[in-house]
Amino acid sequence: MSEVILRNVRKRFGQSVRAVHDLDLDIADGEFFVLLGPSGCGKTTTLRCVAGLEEPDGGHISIGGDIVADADKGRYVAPENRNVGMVFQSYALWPHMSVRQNVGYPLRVRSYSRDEASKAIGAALELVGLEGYGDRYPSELSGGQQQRVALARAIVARPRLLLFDEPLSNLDTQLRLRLRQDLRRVHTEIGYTAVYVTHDHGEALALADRIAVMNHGRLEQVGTPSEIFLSPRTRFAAEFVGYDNFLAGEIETVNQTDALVRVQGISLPLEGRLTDKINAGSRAIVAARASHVTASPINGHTPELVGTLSSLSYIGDRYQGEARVGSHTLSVTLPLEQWGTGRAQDTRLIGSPVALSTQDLIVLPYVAADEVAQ
Amino acid sequence: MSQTASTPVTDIRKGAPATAARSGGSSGQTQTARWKPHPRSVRRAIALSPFVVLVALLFVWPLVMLVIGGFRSASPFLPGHWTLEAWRTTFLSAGTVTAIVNSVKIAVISTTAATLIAAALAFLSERTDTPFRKLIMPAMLMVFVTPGLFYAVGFTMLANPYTGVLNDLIRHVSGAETPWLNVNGWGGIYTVLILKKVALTYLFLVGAFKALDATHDEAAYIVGAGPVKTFFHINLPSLSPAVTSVVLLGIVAGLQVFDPILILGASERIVVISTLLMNMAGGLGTGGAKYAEASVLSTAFVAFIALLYLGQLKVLGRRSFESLGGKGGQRRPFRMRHAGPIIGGLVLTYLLIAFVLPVGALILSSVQPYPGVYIGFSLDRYIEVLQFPRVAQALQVSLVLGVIVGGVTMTVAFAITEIGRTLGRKGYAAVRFATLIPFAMPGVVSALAISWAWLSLPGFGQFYGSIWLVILALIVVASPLATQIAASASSQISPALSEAARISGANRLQTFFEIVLVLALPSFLTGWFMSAMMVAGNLEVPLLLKSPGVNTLAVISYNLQTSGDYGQAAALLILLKLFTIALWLIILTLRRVLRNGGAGLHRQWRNLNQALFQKRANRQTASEETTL
Repeated sequence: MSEVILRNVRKRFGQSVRAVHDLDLDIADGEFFVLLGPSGCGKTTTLRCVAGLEEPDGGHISIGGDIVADADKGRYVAPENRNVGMVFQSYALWPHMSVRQNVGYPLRVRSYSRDEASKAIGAALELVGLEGYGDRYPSELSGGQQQRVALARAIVARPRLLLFDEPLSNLDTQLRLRLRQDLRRVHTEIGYTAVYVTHDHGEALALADRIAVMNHGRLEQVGTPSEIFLSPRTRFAAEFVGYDNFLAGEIETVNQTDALVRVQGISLPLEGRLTDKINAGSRAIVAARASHVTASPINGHTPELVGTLSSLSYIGDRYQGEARVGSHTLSVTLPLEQWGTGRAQDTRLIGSPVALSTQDLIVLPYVAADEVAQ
Repeated sequence: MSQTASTPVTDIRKGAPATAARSGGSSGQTQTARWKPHPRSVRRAIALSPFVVLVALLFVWPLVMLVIGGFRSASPFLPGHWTLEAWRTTFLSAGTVTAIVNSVKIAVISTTAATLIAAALAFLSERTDTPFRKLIMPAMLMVFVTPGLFYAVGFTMLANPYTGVLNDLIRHVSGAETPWLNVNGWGGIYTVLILKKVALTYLFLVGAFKALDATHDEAAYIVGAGPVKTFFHINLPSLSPAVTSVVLLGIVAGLQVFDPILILGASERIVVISTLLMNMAGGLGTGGAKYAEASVLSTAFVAFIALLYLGQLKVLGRRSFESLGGKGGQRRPFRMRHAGPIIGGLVLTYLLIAFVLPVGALILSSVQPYPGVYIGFSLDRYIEVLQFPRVAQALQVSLVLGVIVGGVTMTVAFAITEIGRTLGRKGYAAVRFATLIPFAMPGVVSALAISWAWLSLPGFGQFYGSIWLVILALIVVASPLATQIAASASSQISPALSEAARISGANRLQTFFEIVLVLALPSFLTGWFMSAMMVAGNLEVPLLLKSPGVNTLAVISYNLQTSGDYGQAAALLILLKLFTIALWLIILTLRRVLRNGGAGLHRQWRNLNQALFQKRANRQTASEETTL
């Protein structure tokens, strides 16, 4: 069993920088857990605390039931004694060792016999698709191959926990997609517990069993990829998983699942799904992805919601643009089937009225910080 | 499989309520934190205590003894009383002020010139395809390992107004009587100092140049910076730990400069801090020893170096200078194209002046019957020198001391750097400063301070006169240089490489020996060689610690020189050079083999295996064909 538990974990750098605040996490055995957030949100510090590369200032961490750090009792297990594997953002391959030596190093320090080590190295290299590369040196490999070596090195000794620190961020998109699938495949084949740090929500959704969104050293939301993607519970989480439009308003009516929100400057109330409990009469934020706000030509009928198109760009299967409604600017989608092709350069469209329709709006609790972010 | 498996399991289980754990944990901490030190701090302090004691004993304690010496009326271990008299007399003396001004002038001018020349040479040899670039490194090494005394003597033999080889040549060619060149005085002092210092600076910068990430240059070219701008805007700032370290070394060495002043400044009566100190310690035979004044001047000197060091910290700030990352990259040399031959010609001319001419003059004087006599050349001086039993013995002692002290010093220097880096910025700065202390104490004074320091410790008195005290003292003397080399090398190794080893299960010691030291091997070997040469050329420690039989080549050379046997001294120096060349060739071979750590060796082994396999297969085929 290799579940990971963090309780009340705190970490400061110097007097002023609080990297992690009272963090509580429960990561189940065999789970692929992703820490998602922007730069400086504390996700890498959290990971390094689990690895033992940083010592928390407060709280405790256990891996597989063993306490590996307990600041209050002064307990701290060094990284080499935690039996974890880690893939670094910079790969951290030792340039003086061949691929085989790099991958075999964890086995060497664990005193594996030569035969056992050779078999394990072979298996690890096969798993990452690098059979036959054992005698090469890191400088003779491409970025993707180097990262595969780093992965092989991390898994070769079958550690109870694998840690990934933005391992794909130095790679190109195609390679990233391929390695993402490989990571998922290797996880399915071996079934290890993993903690993965990234700022790319696409990567998080593709890899994770569960995701924790972090902001300023705290957890914003923990949930399955679909919960995070479809039902973000805070404006920050929503923004991070691709919501573009945020309108502040007041709740008119509310039931178990939905709410009707009155937004200043928009004539009709907007109906959205509640992702958290909010009472009638309180302030709230209505959020929508650009893909869920459709701008259509006005063909005779009077639409319920009208906006003025202020920008337009072609992005392949549709147009994307901005429309002004009262004092608000909304990111909107213009379907090709309604507008036809080749309209991105049509300057007459800018400033013309469009009919707006919405779907899948969500209603989020309003916090004072959102005012600033507006 | 790991120790964690056996660690006690406490009550933290998956699903245990977070709030319960939080309230229990934090209230306990608040209660204990007020009156008990944090367990982690205690653990850390215990773990670091041997390290702190080692650093204090090696580097800080001699300074303490030195400072105390400035407040005593008599030499250490002699009856006397506490007094401030020495502080008054030292700084009120006009001679002291003149000596300080002269030293500062020499230090600043020679360091500035040497750093510029060395940086240019390092760039040419490491990053370009300039013709003759491969000669730079061996020539610089040769200059570096030539003891200052004999480098100065070489120039004296080359350009003194009376029997200087160049002056004789000019007289012969032009028929003029007046000598054109005069090495005595400020001109000669600057020439010798700058040329000598370029060598040290170059060797120091080369390791850092080698480690520069080629992609940083490429990124600069892409944004439109030419090679010169890239050099000044990208390379030099990336090298700022190495450059500022070497400038610091240069200034300190410049302030301590001794031999060339004695040889080339005597006729002009030029006095600097070190000759003044030597005088105060009674070394020049001009009066009684004034240990207290020597202590005062040295203490002020150390304080000044402290200021310089703080200046270096300020310059470097919090920037990170790692450029040896975990991502492999290939380096391409910068093409000089049409400028190549011109630059190559300049390089050759420089090497001629810096190395060939003074060494040539030395060789000439080693085969001349008398200075200024150009007939009757013979190898008699060499034969005489080699017949001295003490020369063979000194060679052996120098080799053993050099190898042992060099190796131990570099290992200790890297360990200090690595442990120091875990102490945070201020802790690391304190440790680095401590290791610089012996460097701030000029020659004689540092040897005195070290012996006072250890003889003051109970049980160490019995080591007086043994080789162990000499070894310990030499380690301390060589440490500042070694630590500077280690610090600049390890600042360019990404911490992720060590972290990856720790995560893989290696402990601190394994990580240090198998990752850090191996990656820093080129710098380690250079440092080892430089420390060994420094040890072999050190005069003060063996002389002052008076160990019977522990005569180094420097001691023998010094004795020959002072007894007026210039020919024999020159012959010994040439032998020392040959010996050094042999040693450096070994180091170079090792470095080449170990380039990229074991990569080169492994590749060569693989190629050899393949060749053998192929040969065997061919032989087998041939024999099968014969059988058929």
